[in-house]
Amino acid sequence: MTADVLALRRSPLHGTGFGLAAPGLTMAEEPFRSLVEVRSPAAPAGELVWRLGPDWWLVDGPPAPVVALEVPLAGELRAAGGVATDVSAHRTTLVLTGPHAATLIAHGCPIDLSIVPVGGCVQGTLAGAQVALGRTGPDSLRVYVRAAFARHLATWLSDAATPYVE
Amino acid sequence: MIRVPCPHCGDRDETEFHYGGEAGVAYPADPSALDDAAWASYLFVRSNPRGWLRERWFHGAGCRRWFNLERHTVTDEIRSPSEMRPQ
Repeated sequence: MTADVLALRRSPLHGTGFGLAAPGLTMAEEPFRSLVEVRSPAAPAGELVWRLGPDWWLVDGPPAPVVALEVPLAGELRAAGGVATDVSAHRTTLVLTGPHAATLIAHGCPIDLSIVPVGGCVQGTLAGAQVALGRTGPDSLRVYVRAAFARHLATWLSDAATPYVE
Repeated sequence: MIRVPCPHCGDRDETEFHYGGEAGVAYPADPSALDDAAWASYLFVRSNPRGWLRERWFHGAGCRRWFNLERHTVTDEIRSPSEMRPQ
């Protein structure tokens, strides 16, 4: 039964053909990531943990057929007064890599990404959509965008990437 | 466009924020004891200076925190942003 439900799942960018593989820029959606928002003074454990604001964290994990991250995180945090909430359906994840990735985002984002270190995250607007931008490497960025804005952002990114497609 | 210095995120565009009006307007200690004029005064009457005004701002597109700052109502200069703390 569970498998049937998963087969019916559609990512926000399903059927849009979003994606790009150019020499200086690649773009792709990573659908169905396990995302958990944590309210806690200390950083929670996890492979990909972004600081969204004071006492506010986003934990990003691989896709899972069940709510996999929330329960163990919540258990760890409860003693310290922290809470964890699964928000996997809230956002989808876009991965941008290549030397042009930051330049592309700069076309629609007023935040100076050059001051964001690897492992750092900023929240702001990209092409009018509220996003969280996390840097996983010098030339790789993860964009977390709300499901309802994902198609708009994907269309905008595909259009803005035109100069970088050779 | 005003650049608003968020105490948590740094300088950001005004469009990421919501304006919260004058800061430091205390809720009446005993609201039920106020007459209509005093209640209306609490609700609607603000200092409205020509000059520096302590204001509340909310960084809706970023850290989603309320904070205070001082803005000059003529020049839109901004100074001394600070976190909002419980009284």
